[in-house]
Amino acid sequence: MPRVWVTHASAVTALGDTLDATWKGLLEGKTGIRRLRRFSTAPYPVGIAACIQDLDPGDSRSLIYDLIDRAMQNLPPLPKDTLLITATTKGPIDLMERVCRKTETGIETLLIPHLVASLSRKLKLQKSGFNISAACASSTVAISQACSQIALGKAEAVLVLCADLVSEFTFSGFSALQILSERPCAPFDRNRNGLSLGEGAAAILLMSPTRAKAEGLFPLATVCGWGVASDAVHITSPAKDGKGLIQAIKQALNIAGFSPDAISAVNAHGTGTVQNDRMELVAFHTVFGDRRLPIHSIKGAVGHTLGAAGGIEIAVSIRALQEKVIPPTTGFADPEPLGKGCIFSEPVMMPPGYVLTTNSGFGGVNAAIILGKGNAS
Amino acid sequence: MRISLLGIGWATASTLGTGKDAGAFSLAPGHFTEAVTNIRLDPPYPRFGRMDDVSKAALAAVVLAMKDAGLEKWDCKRAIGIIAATRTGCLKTDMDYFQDILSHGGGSASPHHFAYTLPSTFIGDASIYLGITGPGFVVQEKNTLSLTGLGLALDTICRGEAAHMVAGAYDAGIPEPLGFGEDSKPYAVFLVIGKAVPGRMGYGEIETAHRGTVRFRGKPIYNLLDILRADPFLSKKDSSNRKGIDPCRPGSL
Repeated sequence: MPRVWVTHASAVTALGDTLDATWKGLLEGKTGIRRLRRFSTAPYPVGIAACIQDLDPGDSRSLIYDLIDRAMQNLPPLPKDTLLITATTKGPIDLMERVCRKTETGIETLLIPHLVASLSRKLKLQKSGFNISAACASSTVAISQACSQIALGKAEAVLVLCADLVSEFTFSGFSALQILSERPCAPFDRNRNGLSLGEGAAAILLMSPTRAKAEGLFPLATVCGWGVASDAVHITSPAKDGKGLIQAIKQALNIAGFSPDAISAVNAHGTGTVQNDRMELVAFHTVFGDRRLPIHSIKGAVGHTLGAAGGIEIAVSIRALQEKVIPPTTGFADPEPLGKGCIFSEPVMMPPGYVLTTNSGFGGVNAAIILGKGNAS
Repeated sequence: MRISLLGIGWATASTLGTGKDAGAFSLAPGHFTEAVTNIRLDPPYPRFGRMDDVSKAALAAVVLAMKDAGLEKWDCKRAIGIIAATRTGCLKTDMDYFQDILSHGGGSASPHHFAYTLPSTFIGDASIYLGITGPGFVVQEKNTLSLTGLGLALDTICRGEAAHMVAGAYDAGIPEPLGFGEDSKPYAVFLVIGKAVPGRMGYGEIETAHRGTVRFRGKPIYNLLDILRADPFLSKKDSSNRKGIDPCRPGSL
């Protein structure tokens, strides 16, 4: 089993600017999904999302920089040779909207590589780094690649910065797909009717144990396995049999050297769409059989944060391992038949073992990460 | 581990080609529209006509690379992955999509158009068409032709996570009217790497050496185009059993 340590994890969501605030809100069953005021929702049948109200564009002119800055607060000093990998689907999409509206000029700042280079300069890293775009699995894929680089000895420290904004651009698209829920989304509920968009960011610092010790850092968690696989079925709908997700989970188990019995809880993608949640339950049922392990989704609380979702969910899963508590699935009340005995509307104690966290996205991409507890207090 | 370069496919503003046509590869100003208009995939891919131009070009280059490697036919899905690098990604599609929103109102957004506002969507198309289920994602960086994506693909094979990988880059440049200069020399270049395929000659071995240096046929390379420009890229012996399309006449792939 490869050893990759998570030495820092932070998250910014509509529940708060820190992982503590998000964790507290999750346990209390709060939701950050509210009426959307960033742009007019008059043309759309749905008008809610989980926005962070006081983001400031500042000199950068895109809200994404403030969002990421908040996620980077309290980062430990980074080694200069830290590899930076960002994970975002649309990056400074608000700038592109303004270019289209002709209230902004300049093209270079629209490009995601510009964002990556800017962050690298700000962090005073030796190399520029790169962004990984894999739809709503971007963060999870980025973290899997970070772990692979560390496991192969090609990097000793990798910072994964994950972020996406709520914008009219993405809102209009999901509205056109008719998968936005009129009320805050209800993952795995039998009456769910779609997703709620959200915005957020996460900063996950991964290191080899040797380097972490040399830097005086301790593991919040250990990444034990990772997997990425494609459905090869449809562009915007998941495979009904969950085969791509099953393949990603099995690959993660294989890398970890675990049997499915080692997994004691699942942080699912759980978007709240009819198709996604059903596909995930089919996949989990295939992998874990009749075993009723707790499965939860945080999207009823923080919305679907797109490319940032996996990073935020990994940060939350690390806290779950530390606290030995699985947060409730906010918005959930009445389970899908396959989810009976697995989904909870209250916090539940986490059995000893490892957490599996998964994400899936457009293009049929699926990704899975297995996390074990660390020893940092 | 010895990893072979098994296939090459590419598309530019005016031409398409495979490894045997590498000598004809050159970046030229223009748009993908000219190159992709007459492409007919064989067997057909029903969604192809509805894809945006940059996705069509990238898909065509991937399909050509897989054909060049002899891996295009399938009965059962295979764990082959795709890693694509890009700088501008689907920026033109993004801007066209949002201009439609501004012109016709948000309620008129096209779900189909929206699906191609992700630079990775064509990877989903390629996975469906070619029956491949390995890892698929896009790397966005300033220097699209750098070897980051190829390096990650080599690592994927070395870790045993896939037997073969498709790695490459695509870029359509900056859309008008924001810019139409040197950047707008569109290209899509993809390589198939992995264990040698029986009955097929590879183009040579690719290896990662000390400090991340990548070598092709024993010589260091610094970007993807170095592979197409490798001298001698193909001996007659290597190319004798290869088939490719006329690099100057996009048509049936």
